[in-house]
Amino acid sequence: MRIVSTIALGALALVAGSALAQDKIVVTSSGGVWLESAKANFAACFKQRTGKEAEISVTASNEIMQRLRASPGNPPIHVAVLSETDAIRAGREGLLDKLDFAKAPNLKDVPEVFRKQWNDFAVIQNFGAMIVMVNGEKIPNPPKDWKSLIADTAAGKFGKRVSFPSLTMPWGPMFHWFLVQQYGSEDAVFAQYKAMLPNIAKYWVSPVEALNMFAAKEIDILVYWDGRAYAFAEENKWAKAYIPEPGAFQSAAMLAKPKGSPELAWQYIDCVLSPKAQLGHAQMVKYPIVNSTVVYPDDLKKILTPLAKVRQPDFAQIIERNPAWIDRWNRDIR
Amino acid sequence: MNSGWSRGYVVLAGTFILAPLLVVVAVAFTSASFVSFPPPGWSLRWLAKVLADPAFMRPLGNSLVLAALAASGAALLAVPAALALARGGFRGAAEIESFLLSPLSLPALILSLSLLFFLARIGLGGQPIGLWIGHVVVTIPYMLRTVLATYRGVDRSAEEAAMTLGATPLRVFLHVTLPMIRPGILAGGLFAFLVSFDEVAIALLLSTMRTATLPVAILNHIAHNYDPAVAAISLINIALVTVAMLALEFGFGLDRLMLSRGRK
Amino acid sequence: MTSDRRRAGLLVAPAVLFLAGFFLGPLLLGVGVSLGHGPGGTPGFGQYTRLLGDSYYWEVARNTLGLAAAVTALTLAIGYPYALILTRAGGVAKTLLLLLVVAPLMVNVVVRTFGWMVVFGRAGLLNALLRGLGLPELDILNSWTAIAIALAHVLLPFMVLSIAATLEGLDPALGEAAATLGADPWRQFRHVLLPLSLHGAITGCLLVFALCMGSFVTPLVMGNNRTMVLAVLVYQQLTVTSDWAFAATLGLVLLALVLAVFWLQARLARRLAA
Repeated sequence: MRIVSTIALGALALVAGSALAQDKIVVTSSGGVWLESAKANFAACFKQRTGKEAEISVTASNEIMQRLRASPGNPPIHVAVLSETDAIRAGREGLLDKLDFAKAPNLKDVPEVFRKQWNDFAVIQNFGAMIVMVNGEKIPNPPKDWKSLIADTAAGKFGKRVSFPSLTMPWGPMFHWFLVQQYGSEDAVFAQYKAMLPNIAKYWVSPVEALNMFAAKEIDILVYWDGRAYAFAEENKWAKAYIPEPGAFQSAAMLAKPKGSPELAWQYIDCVLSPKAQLGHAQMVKYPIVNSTVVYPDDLKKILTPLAKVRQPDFAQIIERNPAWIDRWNRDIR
Repeated sequence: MNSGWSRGYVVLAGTFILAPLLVVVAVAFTSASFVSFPPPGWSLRWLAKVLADPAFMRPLGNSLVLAALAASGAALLAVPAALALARGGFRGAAEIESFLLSPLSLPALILSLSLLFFLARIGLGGQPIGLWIGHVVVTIPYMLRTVLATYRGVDRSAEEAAMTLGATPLRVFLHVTLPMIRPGILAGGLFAFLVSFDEVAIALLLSTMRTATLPVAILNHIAHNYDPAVAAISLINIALVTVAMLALEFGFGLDRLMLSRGRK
Repeated sequence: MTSDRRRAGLLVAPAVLFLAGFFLGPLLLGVGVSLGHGPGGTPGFGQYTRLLGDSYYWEVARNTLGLAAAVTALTLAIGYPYALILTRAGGVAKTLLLLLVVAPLMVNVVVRTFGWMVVFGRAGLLNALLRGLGLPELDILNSWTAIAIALAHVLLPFMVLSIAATLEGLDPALGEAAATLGADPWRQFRHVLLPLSLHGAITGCLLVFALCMGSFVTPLVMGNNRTMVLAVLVYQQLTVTSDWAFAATLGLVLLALVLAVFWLQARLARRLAA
C-alpha cells in the first residue's frame, strides 16, 4: 500500500506541475552552457525588468516546430529559439508574430542582415561557423583552403582518417550550399563527395559522434563547429582549429515570438538583444552575437569568427532544394 | 547443464555485455572536460556536478515516477486482457491479441508526432497525462506478451479445481492465478519500467518543462555540449538499479518474487 | 458459456478501448497525413506510389528486415542459454545475472555507442587483443556487423527475461522426474524444457524483432549510407526535410512489414502446435 500512495503522490506532483501560473513565460534554449547563459543573462534581465519569471525549457528546434503546429494560436512556448530553416517555415505557416521594434527597441541595433531573410519574423541571437579541426601532431600543415582540403582528402593524402558533416544532419544542407557556391554546381559538389568517400572514415550525422571519433583519435581531420572546436583545442594541445579560405557558412540560433504568446514575450526578446546580455552570452558560449553596439574584449575577439569571414546561406533555396539533395545523397554517396 | 560450461558461458556473455559499459564507467571518472578514452586523469567532478545539477536530477525523478506509473497502468490494462486471451474460446481472440501488440511495431517517432496532434485535438495538449498515456500505449504490449506466454505455459487445472470447489472468481485470481503468472507480471513490469525509463521519442514531444524525462534532458544536453556528464548520469542509473535490485533481493528474495509454484 | 464470454469481454475491454482511443486514433491521423491531409500535403496516394515504385526503398526495406532477423537470431542464440542459467541460479547470483543483462539499458545510447567505438575502433581494444594474439585486425566500425552487435547487446534483456519468465513458471520437479526416469540432458531439453519455454522464446523474438525494426539511433550513429534502414529514413524526413507526409508513409510501411511478420509467425506457430 505504501508503494501505491508513493506513486499517487508522484502522480499528483506531475499534475500539479502542469498548472502553469500566468505570471510566467516559457522560453526555449539549448542545453548545458547555453542554458546557463540563458539563465544568467536573459532570464535575469527579464526578471529585473518585469519582476516575473522566464521558465527556460531546453527544447530542440524541430520539437518546438511540432508543438507550435499542434496548437496554433495557443502556443505552449512564448519565445522560441529556432533553426534558420524552421524559422522561415514557421513564418510562412503563420505561426509567428512579426518583430515589433516599438516593443523590443534593441532591435534597432541589430543589422538588417540578421533578420532580412526571415521577413522580420525572426532575428538571429548569435551565430557561428563550421571550421576545421586537425590533429596537429599528425598533420602539422593542413590545407589552407576548402578546395585543397577536399582534393587532398580525395587523393588519400590523410588516409581514411577524415570526417565531414553528412548532408542529412541538421546543418548539412547549409554546408552543402556553401560548397555549391565554391564549386559552381550541385553536380560538381556531389562528385567531390563521391571522390572523397573511400577516404572518409564517416560523414558524421551527430555532433557527438563526430567529436567521439576525433577524441578517440579514429580520425585526424574533422569539420566542426567553431566554438566547440576552439574549446576542445584549448584543452587538448594535440588538437588545432582553423578557418580555411574563403571562410565559412554562417549558422545561427533564431529568436522568434509565436503567434498568440503574451505581450510580455517582447520584453524577453528585448533582453536577449540588449548589449549587456549579448556580451555576457558571447563570453559564456563563445559564439559571436548580433548587437552592433557591443565591443568584444581582446581575449574573446581572438576566438570569435568575425562576420566578414562568414557567408549567410540562401535559406529559401535550401528549403526548396533540400529534399532532392537528401534523396540524391542517400542513393549516391555510398 | 554442466556447471563448468555454464560458468564459462557467463564469463563470455559477461565480457560481451560489460566491455562497452566499462568504457563508459571509466569516462564517468575522467578529469577531462571532453569524453575521451583512456581518461587522461581521474576525478569525481562529473559525478559531483551531475548529482548537484537539478537539470539532471529533476528529470531523473520524473523518469522514475513516470516509469512506475506507466508500468502500473500497463499492468492494470494488460493483465486481465492477457488472461482472457490465453483462455481463448471467443471469436476474434487472435485479432485482438495482434491489435494489442501492434504499438510495438509503429516507429515511436511517428506515434509520438501523431499522438501530439491527436491529444491537442481532443483537448489534452500540453497536459502531463499525455506523456503517461503515450508510455502506457507503448508498454502494454510487453506486459501482455510476457503474461500471455507465462499463462499459456502453465497447467491451469488448479484454477478449475478451485472453481469447482466453489471459490469466487476473485479468490481464484488472487490465490491461484496470480501466483502462477507472477513471473510474467514481474518480467513484463520490469520491461515496461525499463522501456519507459529509456524512451525518448514520445517524451521529446509530449513532456513539458516540468515533466521532462531523463532521456530528454540527456538528448538536449548533448545536442550542444558533449561532456562526460552523460557518462556520469549513466553510471548513476546503473547504481540506482543495482541498489534497488539488491535491496529487493535482501528484503524479499528476488527468487521468491520471481518463482512461484514448484518451489514453495 | 455466455457468462464466460461476457467475462472475457469485460477483461479485454479496458485494454482494447484504451488502445482504440490513444493508439488507433493517432494512427488514423497518421494515415490521413500520409494521404496528403496534413500541413502542406496534396491529397492522394502520391506518397505511396513514390515509395513503392522506387527500387531504392525496396532495397532499404529488405536490409531493414535482414538486420532485424539477424539481430533476433543473435539474441536468441546468446539469450537462450543465459536464460537457462539465470533460471537455475539462486539468491544473489540470480540478482547479479539479472543486473548484468539489464545494465546496457541503463546507459544512454550515445555514450554506449562511444563505448563500442572504443572497443571496435581501428585503434580499439578488440584490435589490441587481436594484435596480441597475432591475428589480423578488423575494421568493423560503421558496418552492418557493428550495428547488429550493438543492437543485440541492448536488446538481449528482452530475450532473456521473456524466456526466463516462462521457465520460472515451470515446475523444476518436471526436469527432475525426467532425469530420474533416465532421460539424458539432451532428451530432457528436447522433450521437457524446449516445448515449455517455446512461448517465451517466441515472445522474446517478437519483442526483439519489433524493437529492432523501429530503432534508429544505433543504425544512425554506428552506420553510414550503405547501412540505411527505414527508421533512419523516417528520422531524416522528420528532422531534416520536414516532410511529415513521407515520414508517415514510411512509418506505416514499417508497421505493415512488422505486422506481416507477426502474422506469419502466428500461422507458423499454429502449424507447429498442430
